Amino acid sequence: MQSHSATRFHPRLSSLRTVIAACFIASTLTSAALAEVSTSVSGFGSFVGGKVINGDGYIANYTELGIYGKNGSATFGPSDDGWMNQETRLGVQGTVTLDPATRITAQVVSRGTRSYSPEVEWLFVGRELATNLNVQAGKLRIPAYMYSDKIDVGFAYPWLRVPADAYSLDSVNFNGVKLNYDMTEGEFGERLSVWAGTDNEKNSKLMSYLFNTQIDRNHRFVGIVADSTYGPAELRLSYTKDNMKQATNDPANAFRNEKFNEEFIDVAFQYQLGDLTLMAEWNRDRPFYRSQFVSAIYQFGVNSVYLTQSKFKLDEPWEKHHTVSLGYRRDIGSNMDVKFDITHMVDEGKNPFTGDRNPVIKIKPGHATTVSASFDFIF
Amino acid sequence: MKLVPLALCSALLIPACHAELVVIVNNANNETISGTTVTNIMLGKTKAFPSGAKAIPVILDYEAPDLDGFLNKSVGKSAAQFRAYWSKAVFAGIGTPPQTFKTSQDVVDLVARNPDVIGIADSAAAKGKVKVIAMP
Repeated sequence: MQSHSATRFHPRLSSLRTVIAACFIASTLTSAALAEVSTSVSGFGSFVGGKVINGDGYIANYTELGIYGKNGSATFGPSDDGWMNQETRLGVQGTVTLDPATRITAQVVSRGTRSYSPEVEWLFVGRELATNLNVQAGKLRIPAYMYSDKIDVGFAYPWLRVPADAYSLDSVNFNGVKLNYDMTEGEFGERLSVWAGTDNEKNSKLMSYLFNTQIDRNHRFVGIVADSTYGPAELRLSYTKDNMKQATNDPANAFRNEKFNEEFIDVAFQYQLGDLTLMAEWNRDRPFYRSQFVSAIYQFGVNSVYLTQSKFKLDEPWEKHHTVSLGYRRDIGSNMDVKFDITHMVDEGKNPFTGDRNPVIKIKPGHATTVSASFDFIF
Repeated sequence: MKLVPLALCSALLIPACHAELVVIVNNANNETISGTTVTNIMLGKTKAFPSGAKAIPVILDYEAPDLDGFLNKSVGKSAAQFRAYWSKAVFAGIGTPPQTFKTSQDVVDLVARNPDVIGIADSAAAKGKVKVIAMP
């Protein structure tokens, strides 16, 4: 009966009915979907201040060019006026859960090194393809190091800053896709990630500083990460291949408009022995440099102390240095901490042609001792 | 580690007048859950019970009395370390920490309603409503 009466509609009316029905179904589905949508906001911040007490300057963050300069040093960029702005950052992250398996994540970070201008650093869609398999697509963090994902979240690690010598890649984010697979069996856990993407660094902060001219870098990455945990032990291996093009208008630049097949290998190990945690990370960036750190952290109640030694060695003789840091952390409640750190860097680099001291650090000698304090929080 | 029914815990292990934090699951949950499994679920290393059924962890607010000590004992991390651990997953966009609730009653009510949930709550609030998992 219904179908019979339906045949009496004019074809255009029938089409209209179909459209209305489709709209109704779509709106119903959309309403259902919207009913599932939830949002959450979280954030982090680190107020960091530092002062060079011996020497002319110290690069505390190579990627962001967080540099503590001694007053009067012309070669080290910021003067003492910038002592609170070199590593201070605030981040807010919003997550929209579209359905139980799909989320959109955006992270906006405001940094002292960028005049606190907020920038969208991460923006990606994550979807669970199966219980242990998920994919992320968009603007993501390059997972080169053990602490890559939380390098800005001071509360998440024991030190005042990640060891700068061993965390000095100029490129930190990429636009692309990352596939993650998780597996757990008893105390054994494994996370495998494969990823690919690009990054166009216009006027790379670090490289432009090092070469005193604008350097642009275009990266095409592929990478794989294997992160294994067994009880208190964690071993993380990462491999990144980067077809990188470097461009500069400076005719005197030795690396002008060159292409590099760059490879980055990183091995990190962590072991917790009661209140003592031991960490080590070693990496090799072919064809440029190698770097590493070892650290011991001892926790007693809400307090912890750490001792860290890190090294950086360029394949060319220009740049070589090592650093020792001693620090203290005190947790305040469950989401804040204060930290104090004294860091001494020993400069071993030299100009192979003139024998002058380190041309990257740009002062001679580049030894420096820096004291720093921080207040970290998450919410 | 065998799952121990609440009645047994109540009768043998938990003094009647002394409430302490315990790990709880729904009465319909017949999984054999070890301390390692609890740790893996609470740390997000696994999202399922041993049978493969979905597992949703929930806990009390971080400021709740005794939570710090209980997390230390059961997961091997203080409340601050637990939050620091989770901040990696949160700010990498790959995970969500256990939802927190203001009272043990809220946790118990949720666990009693949803067989997927595993929670940390006060033993007094849990008594007779949900199963308690024996922890080492």
